[in-house]
Amino acid sequence: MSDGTGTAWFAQSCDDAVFARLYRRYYRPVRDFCRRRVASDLVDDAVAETFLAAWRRFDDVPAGDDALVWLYGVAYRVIGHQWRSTARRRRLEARLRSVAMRPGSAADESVIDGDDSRLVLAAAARLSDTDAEVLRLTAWEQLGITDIAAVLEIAPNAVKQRLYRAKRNLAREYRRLESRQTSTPDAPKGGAR
Amino acid sequence: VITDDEVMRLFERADPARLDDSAPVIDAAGYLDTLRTRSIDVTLTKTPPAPTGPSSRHRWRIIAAAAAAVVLIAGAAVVLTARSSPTDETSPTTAPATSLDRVAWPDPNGGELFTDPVEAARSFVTLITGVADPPLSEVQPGSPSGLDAVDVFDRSEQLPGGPNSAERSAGAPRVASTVLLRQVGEHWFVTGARSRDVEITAPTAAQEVTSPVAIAGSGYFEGNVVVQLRARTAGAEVLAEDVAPGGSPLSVEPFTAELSFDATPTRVGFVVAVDEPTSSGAVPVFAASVVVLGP
Repeated sequence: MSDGTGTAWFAQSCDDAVFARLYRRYYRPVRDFCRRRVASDLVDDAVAETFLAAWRRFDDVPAGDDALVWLYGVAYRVIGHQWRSTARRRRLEARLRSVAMRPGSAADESVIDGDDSRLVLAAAARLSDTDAEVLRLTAWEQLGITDIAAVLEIAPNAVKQRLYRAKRNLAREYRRLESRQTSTPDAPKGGAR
Repeated sequence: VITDDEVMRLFERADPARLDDSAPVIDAAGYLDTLRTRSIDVTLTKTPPAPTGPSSRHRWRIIAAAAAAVVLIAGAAVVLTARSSPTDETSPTTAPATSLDRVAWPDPNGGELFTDPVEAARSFVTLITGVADPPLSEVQPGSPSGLDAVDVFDRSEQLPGGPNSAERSAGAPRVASTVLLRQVGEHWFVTGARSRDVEITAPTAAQEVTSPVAIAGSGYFEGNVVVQLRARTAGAEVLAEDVAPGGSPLSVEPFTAELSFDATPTRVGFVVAVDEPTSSGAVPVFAASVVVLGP
């Protein structure tokens, strides 16, 4: 149970090849998960912390695609919990954001998408953290109720309730922002929290 | 007016990672080396720098000698403590006292006895965890502690996609806990259980305890930790129980509990700490340690 014991145990049991397979298979979705939640210059740190936790708790990684949900749970806590207890957390908090639309979309449709995206992200930024997280896990990670419950460590029924509430509130905030934008077309747009 | 579902679809399309193909391709082996480096940085920050000359080598000898001395002293203390344990002198059982007064299960004086170590382990795991048919390993003779051992696997090995499947091919299945056993005569007895995920640090094995007894330990937990004091009787009745709040499955968290008990039906009992798994059907991790129940 001590650090030394744990290190020795890992040295004995962590199968490099299996971990490499896990890493290759899930690096991208884990990176996307972090990319959606922290500023770009912190993404690599969050990903590294997530896989470091996975390496340390390698025997706990579940089989099959459940591993991805498990990694999402780790990443969620890495971003939202573990960093909170460190000085780095302060830096992270200052940069945490709902999500800012990335520049570089040139096609017309993308421009339209960008405007809509800014608006809907601004609406999401007005939701509570838990509501917004349920929406992100649903819409971006494409997780079902059970998997979201596993990531957030809450009951599936609670996820259902939050999802219902979050969708309703997101639409309400979106319509509210949209009506303001229509009434003041030159108002600055933004989605960052 | 835009509907709720349409707004949700807009939100889906606003995924900032959707069009992000800039993720660097990192070699997995190199990444593993990086993780090792990070881990070493985390766990061995107090390790002295590598010796670079004769003076450093001399210092290493001193450190090694000091470490060896500490190990010897600790070992001697353990031996002396074990020998001075009241259990050897106050065993309620017949000879050999040094064997039967340190077994937790089954009750040698009234319980069902087992000639198969795996069956003894299975009976104990079912008793502690409530899992009717826990997946167990074969008996592993000659563990470093001098006891034989039976591993208790996580239920995941029996599920589709488990470690034995081609999809997983992860090698050894996850060991939730290990049951330690001793053979006395023709029968097998459980002397305790240990786990990487949960550890009982107090009371120590075979320690005499009186009410209230303070239980301490640490572990990785999914849920709360159920701490029980049980008597070594045919039904292993629960003398006292407490639920300690769980911590994080990602870091070691301490737990404490205080158990009060009245008159006991036997002088030998055992303390167990069991994780309450959040997923149904999982085999919880647990640890167990024999105690002598004082007046």
